[in-house]
Amino acid sequence: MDGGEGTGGRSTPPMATSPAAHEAAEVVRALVKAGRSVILYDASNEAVRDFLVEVRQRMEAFLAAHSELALVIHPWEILYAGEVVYLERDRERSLALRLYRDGVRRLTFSAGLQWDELSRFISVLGVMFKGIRHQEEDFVTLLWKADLAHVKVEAVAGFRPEDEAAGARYAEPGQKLAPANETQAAIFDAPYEFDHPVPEYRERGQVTWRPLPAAAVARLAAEESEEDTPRQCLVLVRELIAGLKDREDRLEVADLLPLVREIRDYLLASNRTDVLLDMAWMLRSRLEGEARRDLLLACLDERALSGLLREGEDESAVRKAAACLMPEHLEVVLRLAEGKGAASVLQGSGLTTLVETLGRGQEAMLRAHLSRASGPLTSVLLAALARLSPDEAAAAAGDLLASAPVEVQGHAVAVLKSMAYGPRVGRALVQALSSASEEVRLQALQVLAKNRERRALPNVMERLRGAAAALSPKEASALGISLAMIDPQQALESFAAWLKPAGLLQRVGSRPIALQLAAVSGLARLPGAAAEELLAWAAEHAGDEARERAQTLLARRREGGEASGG
Amino acid sequence: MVDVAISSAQEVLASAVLRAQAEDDRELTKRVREIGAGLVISLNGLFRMARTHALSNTAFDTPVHEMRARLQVLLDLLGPVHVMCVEDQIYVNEVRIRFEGTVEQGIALGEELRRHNTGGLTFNDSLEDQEVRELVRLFAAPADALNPRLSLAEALATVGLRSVELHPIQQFKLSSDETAQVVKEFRETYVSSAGHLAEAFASVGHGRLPNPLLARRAVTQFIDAAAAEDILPLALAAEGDIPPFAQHTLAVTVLSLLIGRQAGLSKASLADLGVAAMLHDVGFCMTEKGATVPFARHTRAGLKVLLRQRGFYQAKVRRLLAILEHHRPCNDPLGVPSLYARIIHLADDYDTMTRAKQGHAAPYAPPDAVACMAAQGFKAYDADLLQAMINVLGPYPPGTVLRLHDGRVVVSASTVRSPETFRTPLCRLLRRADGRRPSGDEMVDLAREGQVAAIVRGPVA
Repeated sequence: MDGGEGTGGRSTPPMATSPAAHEAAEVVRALVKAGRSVILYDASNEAVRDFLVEVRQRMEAFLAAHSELALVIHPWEILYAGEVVYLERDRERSLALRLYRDGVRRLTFSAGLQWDELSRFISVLGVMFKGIRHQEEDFVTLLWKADLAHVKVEAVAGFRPEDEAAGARYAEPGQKLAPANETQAAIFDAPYEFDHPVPEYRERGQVTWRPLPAAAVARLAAEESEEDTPRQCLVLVRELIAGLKDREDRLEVADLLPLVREIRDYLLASNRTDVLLDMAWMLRSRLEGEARRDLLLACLDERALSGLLREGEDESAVRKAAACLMPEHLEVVLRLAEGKGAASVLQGSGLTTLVETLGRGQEAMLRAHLSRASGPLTSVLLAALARLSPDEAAAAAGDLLASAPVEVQGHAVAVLKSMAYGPRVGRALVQALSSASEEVRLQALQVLAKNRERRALPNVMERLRGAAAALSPKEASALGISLAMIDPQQALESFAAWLKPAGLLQRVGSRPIALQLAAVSGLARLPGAAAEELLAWAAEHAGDEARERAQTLLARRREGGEASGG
Repeated sequence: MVDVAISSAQEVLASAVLRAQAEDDRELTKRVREIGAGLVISLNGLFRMARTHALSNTAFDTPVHEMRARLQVLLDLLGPVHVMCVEDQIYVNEVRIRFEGTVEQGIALGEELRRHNTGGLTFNDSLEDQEVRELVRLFAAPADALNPRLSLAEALATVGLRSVELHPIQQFKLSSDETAQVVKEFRETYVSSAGHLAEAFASVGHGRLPNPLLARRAVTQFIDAAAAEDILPLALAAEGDIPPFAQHTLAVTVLSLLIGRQAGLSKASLADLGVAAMLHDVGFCMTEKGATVPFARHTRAGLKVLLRQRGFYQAKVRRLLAILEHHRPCNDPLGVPSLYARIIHLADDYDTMTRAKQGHAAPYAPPDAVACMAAQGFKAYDADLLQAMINVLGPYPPGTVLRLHDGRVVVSASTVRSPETFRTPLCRLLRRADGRRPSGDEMVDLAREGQVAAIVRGPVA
């Protein structure tokens, strides 16, 4: 085949026929399967395990029988002893093409191959099949790094393209190197005078041979180890931040963003959230304005925050992370707070303060999250909103009290209670009087009564008259007290009617005990002789429970003088 | 029964893949496929339109904008974007692009490129609106009869589109010598690596990301050679055959590797160090006019381009640090420079001190350079790495001219071979005792014969 891919006019080698070639084909097939398995499976998967077992068995068997597996690499085929033992013409799937393109021409496994070596070889295959390579390494360099004593690779510089301007690539001794392409040629003859200043040293030191101390070797080894890479990432980011302010060769934020993201992902994958936090802190403290914002957003994405703010994290670290957040992080923070696991870290006053800080100017987002929030997060959001925009918080609370689950209503009321009282708070609390939860109603009543909220009156009266039979003694008392505090005049009239209804029939018929309790409790709050007289009558003539209560309140009133707490 | 060895292999595989995944976004391939397809469709559409519409026509506005947007996304994801056409298949950074339905899109783009004897394009930078139109115009124009791709490349450069590279048509041809000729001598490797270096410098000078893989290949061969031979004198001996700009950089690379090896760095780390050393001066951003930035800027200039490399690599981080820090003293108030930077600093200064520049003698003779640097431990240089360098070079580094007591003049031709022969290198005879030159290469092993009387500074008569 010529003019396209092919074997340059050579005849196609024969497919494997000999027993040895068949065995070699099985080894290659097992290698490819194992290497490609990581595309489909997690490396810990049983299937991967099975592939590894197979490749080990086949390789061991082959080397035991033949002592060497020497493979020749063609663009589409792999050959053993001149026979094709692997053929794959799909460019993406083909191991042969990947190897060939990286310059590999021969691959030899020799007797003595250890399983450790073979597994590292398979790891290199796995890396090759997985993901996109960015020209940092290829198969040859990866295998070279793996340093496998019993795997030999013979490679050329890579595929040789047709090049209409090819120059001499290699020079004989004494012959100057010529450029191989137009790119090289551009600067081969360019004037060269890198103006390195020459260090000027006057002092002379000792030039003697000394072995490096073990501690020095250990120190240097620590610096070259992978464990030191996170620290080096930090140093690099620090250097590049300085580049943002360089006057002559200024870097832009866009130049740094991809690297910051890559470092972030690396640190997360390496479980080094401590260093990630340090990087965020560095960005925060050394930058300002848009640069700081953009880089912090890149550094702390949702995955990063999830790692930094998770359950069990050190509190000071959480605070440090929180300090690095930008308003744009609010959405992510709220999502994390809504999720499991993170909640215990993101809770309480710390979270409220955080949400408040980030939520400034984003009240609409807070309200949107409120509409679907549950549990303690409701309190947090409302509390934060209350600090940012009390009116909006009150309105939002009113909405929740109208429609949210009871649990959420409880949080809403709690926040309303903590807010400075005003018309909107009052309106929202009135809404709470319709809650299905007695506790919510009681909480609301307490505040409404204290603030003498007249808008609550209809609800109070309706509750007393309409639902008297269903009222608990506690609620009945609270309603009575509220009525007394909000409208003493109406309260007295109502209490009188409930305790001493007009007409003989009403007097001898059953009077709802809730109303009697309400009246008794409320009377204790009303000043004046009329109230005391009515209370005294109730202490004699009311139903059992109400009579006892009236007696207690009356005694207390007489001891403390005038109206007292009920 | 649990096979521990298999489980261990699974862990090794998991770790390697995890690291590879950290180097790549999990979704990257998918996105590249999607957006790559869009880019190809944009290009095809633009080429097609150019046949019937003037490029100034507003009909181009939207497609040009789309093409630019897609290209920008890919640049952000990948760094340089390589669009390669092989028969009816299109690859973007080695990801095959699949088009729904037919393969027409691939065929169309391939044909368009093949007219100019081109197999692919690399976009190194984003393109402005006008630049896209120029690109389309040039591709739509008739191809040069003699040298279509070269002519097109020149035309692109003329209109300022140096960030777009053209590639030959990919052909895989087996040549008979490929399987045989794979082991090269060090000299050949060393000299040819100057070509790779030229590409790296020219790339940065024209705003293109250099390919570290080419440097890595060369460096791994240096390291292998160093295990068997004394590569520093071999490198010095080959200098005359390589362009001047490469002499310094490659010498620094070789010496850095030797220092690193003496300091006990692993093979993998040496490779990364070597690549960093080969690229340590790319900030000079060479073009046809030479270095375009002065010394003071060369550690920072070029960073913009280098930062375009996508994917997290430990080597990349260390390389960038080395480029930024390699002139910083060890006692710099900003902090101790990184390991590679400290090593390259030593090698860089030594070579600068001992290298003759145009029309001038070298500032220091090699022994004087070593002796003066030796006093800078804990100040300019890391004391331990400095000792490593001293252990490599000795008091008479390669290139040192010595007069022996018997009147012979020799030049040191070896690094330190052993602690016992620290002061007695292998030398090559320059002048016999009677002043005559030897007829061929005669070696004098000072460990066996001869005693040094004096260092000869200046030219030998």
